[in-house]
Order: sequence, then structure tokens, then C-alpha cells
Amino acid sequence: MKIILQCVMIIGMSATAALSVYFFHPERPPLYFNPHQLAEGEVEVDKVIKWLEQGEVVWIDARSASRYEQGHVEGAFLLNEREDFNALLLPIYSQLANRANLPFVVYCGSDSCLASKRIADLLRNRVGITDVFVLKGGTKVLKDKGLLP
Amino acid sequence: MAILNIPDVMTNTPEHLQWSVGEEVKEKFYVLKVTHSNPVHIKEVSCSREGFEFRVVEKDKGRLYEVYLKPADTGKPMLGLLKIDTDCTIQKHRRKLAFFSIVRKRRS
Repeated sequence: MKIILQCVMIIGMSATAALSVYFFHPERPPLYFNPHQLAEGEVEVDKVIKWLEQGEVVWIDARSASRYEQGHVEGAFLLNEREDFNALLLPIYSQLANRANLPFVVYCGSDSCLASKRIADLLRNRVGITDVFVLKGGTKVLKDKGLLP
Repeated sequence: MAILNIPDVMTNTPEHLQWSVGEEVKEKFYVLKVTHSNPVHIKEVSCSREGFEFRVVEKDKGRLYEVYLKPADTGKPMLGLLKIDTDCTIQKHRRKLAFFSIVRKRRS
């Protein structure tokens, strides 16, 4: 009986501490799932379509070369780490550098695919392009919107 | 999914040199360190942009180099890269790219 009471007290104190931290924390996450919530550096396809209506976007396909050759967003550049990143970058570098003032949108197979995030990090931190975004939903949302065959 | 990162045979720190538009024209440098068991020597450096001066300083032959870069002016934003060709025996690592930029300061 005493052990049960101690357990209840420990659980109670832990819950009180957790709720207090949650209540007062300035960056507490929501307690419900929000399908439109974006991670840092992510963008939704609808926003990209608005950018396209207003001007230009530089598409970067972070999938493998074979997937890219099967079909990609019109005008997308192939850039990944599976093949040689530098070797893929060099021939297209001047085209990217000349468009560095445009938003760059990187996509790969799905949200669980980390390639687009990794390529976006390299473009930002190594190459020096400032406005680089990862497309939320990857190729699925592009197909849904008719941007990818 | 597991991600395997294979280290470079030569690392450059920082990965990117940056000046702000209007910043004082000042030389900055990369430190290139050979992490491979065999020494790697820099054979040639070329710049994708005109108006930049660069020089290589050999600190420890085949092991440690500094590459200094200086823009002629910082009047407008641009991106560029240095191609650093080496005698590395591994084809993939023979050419190192070092990036630089002149950027507008972001408004806070």
C-alpha cells in the first residue's frame, strides 16, 4: 500500500512539474496535430505556386539521377549527395549563382526522405544561397498539383 | 534510414567566406587541412569570378594550407567559388570547391 502511495506521489509530482514547464514555456509545441505546421525552412506547395505566379523559382531535385531522369519538375536542377555533389554542382553553378536572388525550392521523394533537407543545408551554408526552402510533402504534392509527371 | 558520412580527405574551414555589401574590403581565408593518411598538395587554384585576388600559403607541406581571398570591392551582392585542384590520388577528391559570397545585410 505504501509503495502504491509513493508511486502515485511521484507520478503526481512529475505531472505537476511537466505541466508547469509546459504552461510557462515560451516555445511550447501545440498539443494537437496540425497538418499545415511547417518545420524551419519548409514551404508548402501552395505558397510555391503563388511565387510561380508572381515570378520565378529555382527548383532543385534532390533525388537520385535515375529518378530525376524518369521525370522532374520543369527546369529543375539535379543536385544530390548520392552522386558526387561537387561534380553535379559545377556545371550548373553559374546558372544557380545568377539566380541567387530567387527562392530555391528543394524536393525529394517524401517528408521522410532527408535528402532535400541535407541539400538545402548545403546550399545555404556551403554555397551561400540565402532563400532555400524544403518542399513539404515532396514529389507526392508535386504530382497532386500536376507539377511532376 | 541510416546516413553514412564519408569524411573528406581535405577539409576547409570555414566552408564559406562572406562579406556584406559595403563592408570594408578585407582579406579573409580558408584553412585547408588534409585528413587523409597520405599528403595532398595544392596544384592550382582558380576563381569563378573576376575581381578577386587569392593566394595560397603553405603552412605544412601536404598537410595544412591557408587560402586567402580578397574582393576588389564589396559594392554588389554576388556568389563565387574557388576551384582548388590537388594531387589527391582519389579522383573524387582531386578538386575541392571553396565558396564565397557578398551579401546584403538582412533587415532585422
